[in-house]
Amino acid sequence: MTGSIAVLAGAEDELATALLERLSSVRARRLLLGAEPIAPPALLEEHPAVLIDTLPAATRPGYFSAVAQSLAAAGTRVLNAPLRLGQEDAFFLLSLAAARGLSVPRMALLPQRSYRANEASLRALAYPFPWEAAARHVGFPAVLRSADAGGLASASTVGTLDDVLRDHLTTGEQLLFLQQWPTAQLHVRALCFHGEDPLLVGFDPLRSRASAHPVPEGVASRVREAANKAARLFGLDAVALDFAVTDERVWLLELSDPLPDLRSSLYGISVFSQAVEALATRASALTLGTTRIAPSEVAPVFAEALPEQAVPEGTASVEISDSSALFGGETLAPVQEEPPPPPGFEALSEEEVPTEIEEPPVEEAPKRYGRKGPDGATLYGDEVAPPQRGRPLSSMTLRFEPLDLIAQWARCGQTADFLANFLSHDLERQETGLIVLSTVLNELVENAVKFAKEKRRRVTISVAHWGDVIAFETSNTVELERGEKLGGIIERICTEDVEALFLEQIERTAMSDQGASGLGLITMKKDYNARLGVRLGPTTDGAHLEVTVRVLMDVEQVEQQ
Amino acid sequence: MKIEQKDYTLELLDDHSGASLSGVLRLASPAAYEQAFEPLRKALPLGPAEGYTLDIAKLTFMNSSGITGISRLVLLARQLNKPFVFVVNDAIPWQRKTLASLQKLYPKLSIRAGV
Repeated sequence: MTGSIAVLAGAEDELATALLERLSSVRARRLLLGAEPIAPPALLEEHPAVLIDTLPAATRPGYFSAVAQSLAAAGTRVLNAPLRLGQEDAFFLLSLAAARGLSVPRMALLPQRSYRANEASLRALAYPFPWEAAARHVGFPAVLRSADAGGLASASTVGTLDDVLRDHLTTGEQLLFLQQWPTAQLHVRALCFHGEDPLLVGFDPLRSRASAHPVPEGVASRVREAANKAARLFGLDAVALDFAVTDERVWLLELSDPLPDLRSSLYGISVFSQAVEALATRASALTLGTTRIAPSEVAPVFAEALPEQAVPEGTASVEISDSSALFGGETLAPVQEEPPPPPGFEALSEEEVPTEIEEPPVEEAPKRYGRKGPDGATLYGDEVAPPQRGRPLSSMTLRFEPLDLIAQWARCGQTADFLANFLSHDLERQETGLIVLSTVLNELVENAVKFAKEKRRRVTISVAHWGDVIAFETSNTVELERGEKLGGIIERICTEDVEALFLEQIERTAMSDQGASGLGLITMKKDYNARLGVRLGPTTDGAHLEVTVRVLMDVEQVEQQ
Repeated sequence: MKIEQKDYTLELLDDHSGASLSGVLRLASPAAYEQAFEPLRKALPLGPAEGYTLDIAKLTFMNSSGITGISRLVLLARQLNKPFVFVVNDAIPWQRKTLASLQKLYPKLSIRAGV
């Protein structure tokens, strides 16, 4: 044992760099960056005393896990290993927390929608599953969340049993549990670095987003108490704890590994620097042997949780009110308030669902590259305001999750065919119109699905028939770079020789498999002289970047007259 | 040789002089088309010097990834200097429109109305 500290990092290395700077005067002699080859432990000249592993659990290559585990076995203190605090253990960890007296909203484990197993091996599964009993036990509003991947950011909010059954339909082999969602005055994340005062940040766990609002002192002291209790219970060197604070209680919602996401862009410079300081202090303490963990001790699982004395005196064990072993968590009075809108519904609540395509924010001067709209969004391409007269002859809006279409690609075509059929009833030349409309709609659906940044967040496609013009519109979340690239392509389509652009893209995609060639959009202009417009701006709740593509086609072109 | 998939059928003539594609082709990416068109890529160099005929008259839909896939075939024919004939259906607007543009890539590409 040499007393050195190693930091394992991958693509995100802000934390690793900051830690090394901070530790340079101490004993950080080794840096294992993801970009450098890491020798198998048996070939290492010396084993570090401490390994700080900042790779995210979900995407870490197995090799690094095995290296970390074998170093841990040889006596290196690997921060948090062998317990990898990904979100994959949410149900288990929360059950354990509830059993040790922490306030955890009630939970019910749900059967998987489908299984990779034969019928005989599923005999022990209760059938029919007591859905109503599970829903009664948990109460609403609730979240439907994954027990084995993703964390709360991928959870959906549900207000009724019907919502649960509907969302459950599309979850395949995912293991899910239903959990009551307390109506909280505040959500707070506590970043705990063993023995340090936890750092508190206002944090929306459903969106994985920190808020700039400071945590009021009255709330902070209650959260600190709960966080310290949880950190002691799990005995982890680094843990992020998400809490919902109500008048009565501080509810533990989630435990996760704080290291992969420890970035200044998420928490702000101040919290980030304090976290680096706390982590460095903890790592140094472990190296210098000032802690009570002996160097020879193999890194423990729940080291301080298992002995009796780890649980503070007076902590009552939880009462599980339901006899079913499927249910866990603590008794919680049913909450009557309206459920918060589920993620993905904020932009289009039922009241706001447009029955017709609304007028886009279009500035006076057309065809300037990436012009600004009045609401701050960036607009590209043609002017695409629909005709200003009355209501469309017919219109329809569909909402879906990209993931469902990616899972079954044929659904893109089916969606396009459905909408094309719907529109073609108003056409004189229905057969031709159907082929043209479905061809165009299919490109729009495929683009929305491929471009969508969040594959579980609903995208919308709207169609409206205005007599001599048909309008299509898709909206989906997007990464800035891809959104701007799309805007740039649209701008070129609308201002350059589209035939030449088509051939340029053909020659280019012949060489590589780039998904965003814009060929589908180019053919809309080239073959049907469609007007194309793109709006790139924040969603109505400001939480995401959204791209809206609008296409206007003359019915003459659709019918090829 | 006849390759029947759920949504489309690819039938190749044994003398490597041509093939027909029918149904609906909406694969997820250009890479998926590479795989689907592999038999065509193999047949193209083997056939007679007069050229290769691809009949798409009964192909109702093809997405833009498919246009990439088709144009790669055209570029292969260009590389082999082998004439390429497409048989199209004029009731399906995208067919002639797409191929007319591809003619600019390869003058020995010709389009004939079928059905």
